[in-house]
Amino acid sequence: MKNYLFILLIIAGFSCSKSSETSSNSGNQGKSGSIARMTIYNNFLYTVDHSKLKAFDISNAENMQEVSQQNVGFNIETIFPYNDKLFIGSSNALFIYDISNPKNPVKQGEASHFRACDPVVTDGEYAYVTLRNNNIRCGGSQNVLNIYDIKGGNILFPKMIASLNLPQPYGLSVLNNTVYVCLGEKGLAIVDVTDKTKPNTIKVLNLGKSYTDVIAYDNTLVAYVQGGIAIFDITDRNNPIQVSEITN
Amino acid sequence: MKPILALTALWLCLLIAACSRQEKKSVEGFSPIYADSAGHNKIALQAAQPIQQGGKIYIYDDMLYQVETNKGIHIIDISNKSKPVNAAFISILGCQEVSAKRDTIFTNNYNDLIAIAVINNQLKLLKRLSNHFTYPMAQSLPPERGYFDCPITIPGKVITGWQKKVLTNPQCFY
Repeated sequence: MKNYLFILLIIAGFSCSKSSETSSNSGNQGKSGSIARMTIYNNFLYTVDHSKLKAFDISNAENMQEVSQQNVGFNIETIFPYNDKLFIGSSNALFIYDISNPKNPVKQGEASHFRACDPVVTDGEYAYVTLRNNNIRCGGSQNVLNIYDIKGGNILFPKMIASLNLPQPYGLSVLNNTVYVCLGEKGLAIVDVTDKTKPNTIKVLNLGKSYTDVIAYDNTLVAYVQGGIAIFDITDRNNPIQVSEITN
Repeated sequence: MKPILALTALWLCLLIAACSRQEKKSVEGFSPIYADSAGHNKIALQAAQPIQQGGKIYIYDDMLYQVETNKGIHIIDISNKSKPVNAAFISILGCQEVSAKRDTIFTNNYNDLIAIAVINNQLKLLKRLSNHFTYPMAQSLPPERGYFDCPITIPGKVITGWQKKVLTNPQCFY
């Protein structure tokens, strides 16, 4: 009888550990837009207000609690996760935080020499930032998509390798070698970045909408447009085809 | 001699004008509208509503969440990309941000961070962390870029919007 119980316990223990493993790896991470101030990585929720980065443990939502907070800088605008990194855009800097210890993000890199009021996204090797000039505090005179090399040691001091002029660029998303950049009422730019040093605008879609932000994943691009959403098929990365929309 | 005096006087005038302008600057901008916070923490599951302005988006699996700024969250089923279904609306005042993990939606209700879930067509508040959002997350930013009066925390009050007016020495801008 004792042995029987012992075996049962082992089985129970095994099945528990297995299920928790699958749940933490079930990997379907959510997908953030590029102009968010809140994002999730695994069991942690991160928020940025104008100066602070906060981490919350959400492994059990009913017991959600703040586990850390720290000052990042001023005029923080956006947060974007990639693997065990957080990319934070502020009015005068791009910050990269390491979250291999998810409770306590640690600043790893910073590029403070440029004005990055607007969003940043990444594919892990390069960071893509848009700047626009209708921005009293931090826009400067530029309307550009900038590309930074963050491979290896460059992550400590992201190095700008290209800059592409675009009219009033805002939210953006990168998938493989294509960057999708919202240009407000000017449309949605499709930028080929096969050669990261020579980004090339393939075309600008203008379907009479104002584009604010985009999320590209798998073969789908979801756009936050004025008054709703539009969904595109991007099986051909450089040729988005709108398949549906919900707008007012 | 006279021209020099005149010039000096002019220079003094300019200096004073410049200084006083620095001390008291009036510009057009936005000022927060404060309202009593009582009743502002109500959240409710409602039938789908037309998207008005729309706001930030987040995708988890086949669900797309779109903020209706300051009003709530549209839940849109995008399992069929050609036929997305506007499935429901969660009314949350002051809502600006959204993230999700499995069935749980994380958002803000003014200054509070909340975790909610729709279970069997019932909206459940899983957790509320009061005052974990600070400017400018909860109140967002004024509708147009430029100068604005910095929002301040007043017990029992929340910021429900912005009004355009002439501001004196505004300390905030974006």
